[in-house]
Amino acid sequence: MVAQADSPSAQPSGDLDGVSELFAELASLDPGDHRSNALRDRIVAKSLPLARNIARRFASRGEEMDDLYQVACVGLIKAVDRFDPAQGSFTAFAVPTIMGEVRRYFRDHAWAARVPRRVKDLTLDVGKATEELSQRLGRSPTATELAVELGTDADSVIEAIAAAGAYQTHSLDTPLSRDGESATLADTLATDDVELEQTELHLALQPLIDRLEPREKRIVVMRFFEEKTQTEIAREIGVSQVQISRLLSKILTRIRTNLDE
Amino acid sequence: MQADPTSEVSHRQTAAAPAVTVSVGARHDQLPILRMLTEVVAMRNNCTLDQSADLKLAVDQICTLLISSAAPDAEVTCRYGTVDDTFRIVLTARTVAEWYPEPGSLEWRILSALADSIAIDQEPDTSGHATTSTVTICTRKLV
Repeated sequence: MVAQADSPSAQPSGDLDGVSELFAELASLDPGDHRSNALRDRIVAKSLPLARNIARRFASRGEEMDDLYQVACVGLIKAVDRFDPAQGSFTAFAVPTIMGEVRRYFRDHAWAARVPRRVKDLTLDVGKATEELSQRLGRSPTATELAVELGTDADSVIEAIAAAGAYQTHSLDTPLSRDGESATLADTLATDDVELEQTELHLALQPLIDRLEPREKRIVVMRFFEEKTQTEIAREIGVSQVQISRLLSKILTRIRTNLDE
Repeated sequence: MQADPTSEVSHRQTAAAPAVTVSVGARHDQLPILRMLTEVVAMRNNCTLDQSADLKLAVDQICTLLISSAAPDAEVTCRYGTVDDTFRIVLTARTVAEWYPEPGSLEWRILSALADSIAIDQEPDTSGHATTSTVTICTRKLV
C-alpha cells in the first residue's frame, strides 16, 4: 500500500478523498471553460496513488517500476477523461482502465521481460540486416546470409527470428499515438483503391473476399493475386515481414472459418 | 533435429540440414509446434525468410484441414528434407472425411501461391475405414 502526503487515505477499493467533489465541479463547468484543465490536473494529481499502487502490483514481473508507473498514469488520465460521474465511483471505474493500460503494455512489450537481451539485440540487428540484404539481393535473405552479414552463426539468427515471431513488439492493432483513441497502424492500411474486379478473381470467390476488412483484402490481393512476396508487401505498407506473416495467418484462419460455415 | 556434433554441415553455407521428422497428435492445439518447427527447419535448409514464412502458413493451413478430418487418435507426421535444390515437406495423416479444397477455389489458390508445388495423394489405409492422406509441399531454394 502506498501512502502519499496529498492523499493518505487512498485505498484501491475505497474512493479517493475529494475526487468526487472535483468531478462534480468539473461536470458543472462548460466544456470550453479554462478552469476545466486545472480541475482535471487536480483530479489526476489526487488519483496518482491509485496508479502507483497498480504499477507496484505489476512491478514484480521484471519491468522497471518507473516505466510501469508512467504506463499506469497514462491509464489514469484516460480514466479521468472518460469517467462519467453519473456512473458512480471513480475508483471503481479507474482501476480496470489503468489495469487495462498496464496489461496492454505487457502484451506489447512482454518480450523485453522474457527474451534474453542477447536474443533481443540480435533480433534488432536481424531486422536491419534483412532490410539491407533484401535491397542488395533483390529478394529476401536466408538465415545463413544474415549470419555472414552479422558475423554470427545461422542458428543464432534463426533463434532470433523465432523469438521475434513469438514476442511481437508492435502489433498492427497498436495505436499509432499514445492516446489510444487514434488510428491504429492497421487502420492506415485500408485503402479504397483495391479493385478486386480488375484481378482475374473468379466471381464465386468474391463473397469470401468481401467478408474481409479492406486492409486485409488489400494484403490478400497483394500476396495471392499480385503475387507479391511478404517482404515486398511489408515494404509497401511500412511494417515488418513478420507482421505481414502474422496478419496473413490471421486472415487465412478467418477465410477457413467462413468456409466451414 | 539432432545434428551430428562432429559434422561440418553447419559450417558449410549450401549444405542441406539433415532430414527432420516429427509426429504430433492430430489436435489443433498441436499446430503451434508444427508452425514453429516448419519455419525453423526451412530456415536451416537455406530457404529465404519469405519462403520460410510462406511454408509456415502453408503447413498451418493444410494441417488445420487434415486435423479437422483426422481419424480418432490419428497423428500428423511432418517430414522435412532437401533433395537437390528443393526443400520438401511431406505431411501425412489418417483421415476419415474429404478435407482438401477444390482446385480453383480461393483456398486452393492461396495454398498454391505459398509454395512451388503442392501435391495431394490419398490411399485407402489397411483398416479400410480411413484414408492415408499425404501432402507434398515443394519449394525450390534460391540459394
